[in-house]
Amino acid sequence: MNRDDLKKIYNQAILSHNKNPSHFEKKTNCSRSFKAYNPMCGDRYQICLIENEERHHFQGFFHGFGCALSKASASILMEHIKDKTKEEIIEICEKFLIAFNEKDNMLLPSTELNILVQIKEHKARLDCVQLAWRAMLEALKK
Amino acid sequence: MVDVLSIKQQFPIFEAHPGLVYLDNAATTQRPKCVIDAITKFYTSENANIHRGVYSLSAQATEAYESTRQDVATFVGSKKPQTIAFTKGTTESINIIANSFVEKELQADENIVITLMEHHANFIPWQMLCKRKSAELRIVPLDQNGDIDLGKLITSIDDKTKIVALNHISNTLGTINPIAEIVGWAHKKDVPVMIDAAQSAALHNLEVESNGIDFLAFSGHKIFGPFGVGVLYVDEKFIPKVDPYTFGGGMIEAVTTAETSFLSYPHNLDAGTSNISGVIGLSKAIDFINELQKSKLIDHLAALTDYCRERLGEIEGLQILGNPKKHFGILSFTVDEIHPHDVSSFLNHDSIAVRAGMHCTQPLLESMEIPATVRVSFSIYNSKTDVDRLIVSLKDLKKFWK
Repeated sequence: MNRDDLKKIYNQAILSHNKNPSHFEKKTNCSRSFKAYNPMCGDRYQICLIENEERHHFQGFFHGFGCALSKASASILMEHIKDKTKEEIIEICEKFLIAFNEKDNMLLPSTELNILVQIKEHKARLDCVQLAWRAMLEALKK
Repeated sequence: MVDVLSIKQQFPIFEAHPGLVYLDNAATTQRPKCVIDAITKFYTSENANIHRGVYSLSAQATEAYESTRQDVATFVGSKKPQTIAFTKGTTESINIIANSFVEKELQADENIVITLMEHHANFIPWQMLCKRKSAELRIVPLDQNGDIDLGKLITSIDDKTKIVALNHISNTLGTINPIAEIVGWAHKKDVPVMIDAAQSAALHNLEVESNGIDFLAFSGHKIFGPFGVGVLYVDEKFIPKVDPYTFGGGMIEAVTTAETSFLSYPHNLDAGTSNISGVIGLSKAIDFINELQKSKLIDHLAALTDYCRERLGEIEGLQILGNPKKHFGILSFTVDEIHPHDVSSFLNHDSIAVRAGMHCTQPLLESMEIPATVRVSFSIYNSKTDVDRLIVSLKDLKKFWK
């Protein structure tokens, strides 16, 4: 990946999510609340899941501090898990993480995910993209 | 004038990556060819274990290893080679003093004095020790420029202080601490001082004897030497008090089924096979440094750091952490709206290597309410051209990010 490729990815998805992240709110009425934290770089988010008890659907929110990639990635994750059940969220996270860690390119269900997954070529930034996804998966599988 | 180009030509990494602007020297310096060659030569034609064989290769390896103690002693300003131990690096050297000397002396109503700008390597060993012994860890704050609050440091040291431990040069702010003055204050109260010289050992004279330093630590890989080898200096009067900390072959006087007696420092720290090639490489790195015009290079790098500080001022929204009275070679900064990791990624695509993150000084950054910074750190092969490339790249990023 060269500088222009990186700029392209940032322009297509990262910068807008970084500037105006979705579901970037501090909530108090969380059904589940957990950290996404990378001690190597200091990126730190608190993720909050609010469950609709009748339908067992979730809404995700996050707040905290991190780089444009980790923030945009968390923002895209929150959009994709909206109104999904626990099992559906686990499946979404697993699919994305598999695609992100596979050598071959796999088609993901949205344009933004397909852009985000390209960061896998940028070896120094793998943790940034995966931070919120891994934390979500770990929390829901507990 | 310093001939930076001829210095740079001695470092093969710049031949392998001709466009590289390497500004992460506080993390590790590059290695000159002579150091790489010395390690290769050892493994190619001199390889043997030390202290054990009576054959020629082993005797020669032992001599090369032991004579490095003298080279290192002279390098740090000690007349006695027996004051020098070889370790894995600064971190291990500090842990040895914390665990094999201070621990047995420290009582629950006593304290250890450090500063807020310490690297985790000179922070956590003392924090853990104080927790184990229910002693007090006194952390001296900094003023707004990033200088140690000397008044607070002096009043923190009392007759219950067991050791003062601080860095010579801060790895995050570049502050040069007045170590001789601090040693003077501590010694007035009979308190020994440990200096973390990881960032200063490459070029600054350490002068352990004339500065009265009791313990000093640094790493080979930050002074153009190999990874995995470091130095611990212990003043002669403390030598009998430094106990072994790991046990095994090579460090014993006599072993029976009932008990073991040990060699004295520094050999009591050499359990198991030593990092012989590391020490050989370290020896060559010291030879390399001794050939440099150190004071001219210090002036060159001080001017380069000032030039970089001035030019970083051209970037809107860029803030440099601290402005210490005496500083050297290291600048940490933030750029409004752009996270240090994003800055570092974009600089990387212009072949500029900088560090982004917390630099193992989390308590310092938290006190400044900054989650992470970009850090540039210079060494003997850096020039104004490197700074100019950095500025062009940062300006381009700022334009793109808008």
